[in-house]
Amino acid sequence: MWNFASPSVFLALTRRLLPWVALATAALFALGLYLSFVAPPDYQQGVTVKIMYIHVPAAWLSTFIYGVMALASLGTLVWRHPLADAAQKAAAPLGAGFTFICLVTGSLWGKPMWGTYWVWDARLTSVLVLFILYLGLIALWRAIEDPGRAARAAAILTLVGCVNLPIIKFSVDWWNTLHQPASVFRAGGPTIAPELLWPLLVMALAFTLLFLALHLMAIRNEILRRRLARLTMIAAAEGDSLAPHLATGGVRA
Amino acid sequence: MMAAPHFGFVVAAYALAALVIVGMIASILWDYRGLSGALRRLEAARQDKETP
Repeated sequence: MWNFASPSVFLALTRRLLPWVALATAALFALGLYLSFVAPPDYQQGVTVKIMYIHVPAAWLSTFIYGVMALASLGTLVWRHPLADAAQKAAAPLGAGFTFICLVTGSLWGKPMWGTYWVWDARLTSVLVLFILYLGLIALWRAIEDPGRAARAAAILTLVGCVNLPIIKFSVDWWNTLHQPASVFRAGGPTIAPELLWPLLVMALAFTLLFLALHLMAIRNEILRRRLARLTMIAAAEGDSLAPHLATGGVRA
Repeated sequence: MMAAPHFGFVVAAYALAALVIVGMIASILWDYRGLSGALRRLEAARQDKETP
């Protein structure tokens, strides 16, 4: 793990790994979308069950990414891993994106199935809180200028926000909710017919690989941003008149 | 399938997911392009400065 603490090693590894991850993601998406398209309609939901093939993977990623950020926060606060805060910062917009997909696709499924786009149900509300947490973390990173202080503040907020993860997971068991209980990862096995389950699992894997590819790319950007900030400061200190307008990519860490 | 009731909701969900995913990919690639371009220009400027 510590071998990857060197940004140069991470960049070299990403360069080698990224094309394969991207290829596998594209192949899995092609397969998953095909299986979703040919899967039979549900006996109750009809074709709207096809929304589940994007809603469920996005929902899974929304909590998984927060878990990744919590681990990265521990890396920042406890182990002081040099890339941990870059990983945490890079994951937040992706988490917000997938949570947004989860909320909106759920809403689009809810209208024909429940008769409403939104209810203040425990599951829906706790996922909305997760989305707001992601936005808050992105804002926090932008609000604090010193990268070290921003990383520590974001790590603490991320860890505090972890309390929401079990609430999301068990909300359907703890409260009487409109949202259905777990039907894939549950004691006693999935309750979904294999014809509908397989496309769901393939799409979940495709979404997970997509996150891996995007996260690697975003961490790489963060490393380059810091390198650019450092070199720009060195150039400025040496009295290089070119320095200020070179940093068009945004040097703020 | 297209004649099925609520098919529009399915299309809207897939279109929105595609839009968000493409947006995330594009913004990361755009950021990378800007950053690597700025680094290249900075390196070139430093080399020009060092060359007598």
